Amino acid sequence: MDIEALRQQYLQQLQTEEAAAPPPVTPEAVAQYVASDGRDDVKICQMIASLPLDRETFETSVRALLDIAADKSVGAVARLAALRQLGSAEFRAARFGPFHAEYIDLLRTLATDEDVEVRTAALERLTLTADPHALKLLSDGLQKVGDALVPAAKAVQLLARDDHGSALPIFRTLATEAKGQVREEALRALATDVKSAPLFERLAANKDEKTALRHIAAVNLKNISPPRFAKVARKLVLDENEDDKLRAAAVSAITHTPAVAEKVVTRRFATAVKKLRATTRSGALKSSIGRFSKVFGEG
Amino acid sequence: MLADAERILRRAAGGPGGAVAALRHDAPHFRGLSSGDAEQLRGHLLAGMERHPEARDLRPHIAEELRTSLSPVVLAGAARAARRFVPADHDLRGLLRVAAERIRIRDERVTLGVGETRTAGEEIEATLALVTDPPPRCCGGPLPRPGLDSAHAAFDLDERALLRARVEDQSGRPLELISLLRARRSVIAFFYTRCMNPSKCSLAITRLGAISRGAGKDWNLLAISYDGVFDTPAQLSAYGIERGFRFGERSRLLRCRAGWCEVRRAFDLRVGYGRATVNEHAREVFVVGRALRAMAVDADLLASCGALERALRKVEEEA
Repeated sequence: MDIEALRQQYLQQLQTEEAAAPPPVTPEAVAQYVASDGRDDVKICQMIASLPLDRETFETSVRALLDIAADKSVGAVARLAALRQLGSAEFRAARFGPFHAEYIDLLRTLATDEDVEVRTAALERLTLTADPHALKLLSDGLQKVGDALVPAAKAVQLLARDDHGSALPIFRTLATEAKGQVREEALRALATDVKSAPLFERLAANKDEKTALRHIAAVNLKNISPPRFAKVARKLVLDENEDDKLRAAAVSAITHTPAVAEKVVTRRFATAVKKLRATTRSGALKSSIGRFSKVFGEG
Repeated sequence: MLADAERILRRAAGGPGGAVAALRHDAPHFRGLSSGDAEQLRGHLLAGMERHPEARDLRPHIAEELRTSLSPVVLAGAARAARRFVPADHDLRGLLRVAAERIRIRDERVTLGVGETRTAGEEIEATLALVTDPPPRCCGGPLPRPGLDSAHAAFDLDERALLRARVEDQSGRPLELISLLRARRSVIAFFYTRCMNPSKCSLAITRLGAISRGAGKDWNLLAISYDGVFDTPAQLSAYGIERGFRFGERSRLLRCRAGWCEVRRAFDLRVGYGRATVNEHAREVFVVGRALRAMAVDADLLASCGALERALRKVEEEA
């Protein structure tokens, strides 16, 4: 295609899209509509999406968005739309600076809102910067000192964002005592916790535990202590009664982690792995062993 | 929190270090707190110093927070404590303006007294408003640079304690700290890779990295982690590489495998721990002579090789 024709086509396309787009809304118009009788949440969402955050209207737009997000008489769907737009506005840090304190205050209030989606959105944002208020609300909920504001698994996920691991003791308890998804999330949150190595070792080796849990425990152990993982991995690979998925993961980890391989791979081990390839029906295990053989030969 | 701070300041005032000792990062009242809670307490303690009858050695604490803190509550507290110095202290006014600029994009409302809620920026403005004369430096003017005058008194490291310290460098090589220190003069910075404040650990290692890339120095450049459990050799190595640290026989990032308590005591480190890791710490840099004579120096000296060389010479002469 001729390059000039392509350029013309592209410009035409832009013009068409621009003509089809709803006209930008002024912050004043949004505020006026929100204050009117018979307002509709869907319409508010549409107006929020068309609200420009440009140089001229940035401050008034942010003001309008903060007011909508704080207005409990507005539906949750519209308040969430306002929060999303505020998230975009926040990227312009210097312009947003004068609103920052109010924004954080608002989010802290919304963290205990009646609507769970609003609460979750507020806590999602606050935990990104390890807000102490949000971390306390979440850990109180998990320890049943306060209300559970979000489902427990979600609370673990959000608390795990704190780089300083202030909730590690809670995760350690949940990783042993909780059930289902909460326990899984707690184990994931402990990924870098050196003190949990014995727990990971026990879990990875315990056939009574779910495969998914054992897999997480094994991966964590590999990351924090390759020598301890090496012992577990060797047993997993050589035990004929083990779960094939776990065996495949263990072979893979041995292949790609030199610190583990140097503890595990001997001529005898490589021969055993080769035999395993001939007998197993698991496709995953066969391909893991294939990669192993490329790196270490076939015994 | 307010009542706690008042009680802590009252108790500390009767002790050997005076009320200001309550601000040490390793003080018992910070132990076990999360970073957020430790910052809350520090902010309240600083605010409590505004009218405290005793303010011996308070100014350096305020200046350091104004230089480095990213916490609205700590900066608000520091701004309050600064009120007793500001009318006569041009340098502190400069630091207040810098802190106001730093906090502008992340400000929050904080409550330091009963029912008094202001942002950190507003607290700083209120402090600056106490002075009516024009600022001594226009925006962008140079801030006071630390010199050797800001160095602390030299002291002897406890040799027996250091004998128990076993360290490991970024490549996993086990070493004896005392042998490293005796081999040649050393500049030692303390840090940890999970530090979230770019003006503290990250900057210290970046500055050490710049020195490590230069030639002709006959001293060790060592940085020891406060968080030896988390900071594995792989972690240290990645952290150093990302900050341009050139590893070698004289330039290493270290973690303690044994004897960390002894190292903490020997250097009198100002670091506090929460339930999982460091909750607060000062910026700590030392120069150490071969005879194990040591001196704490201002962390900003890492920006100047010449100043470090003078500090090393001084500490060797004292030995």
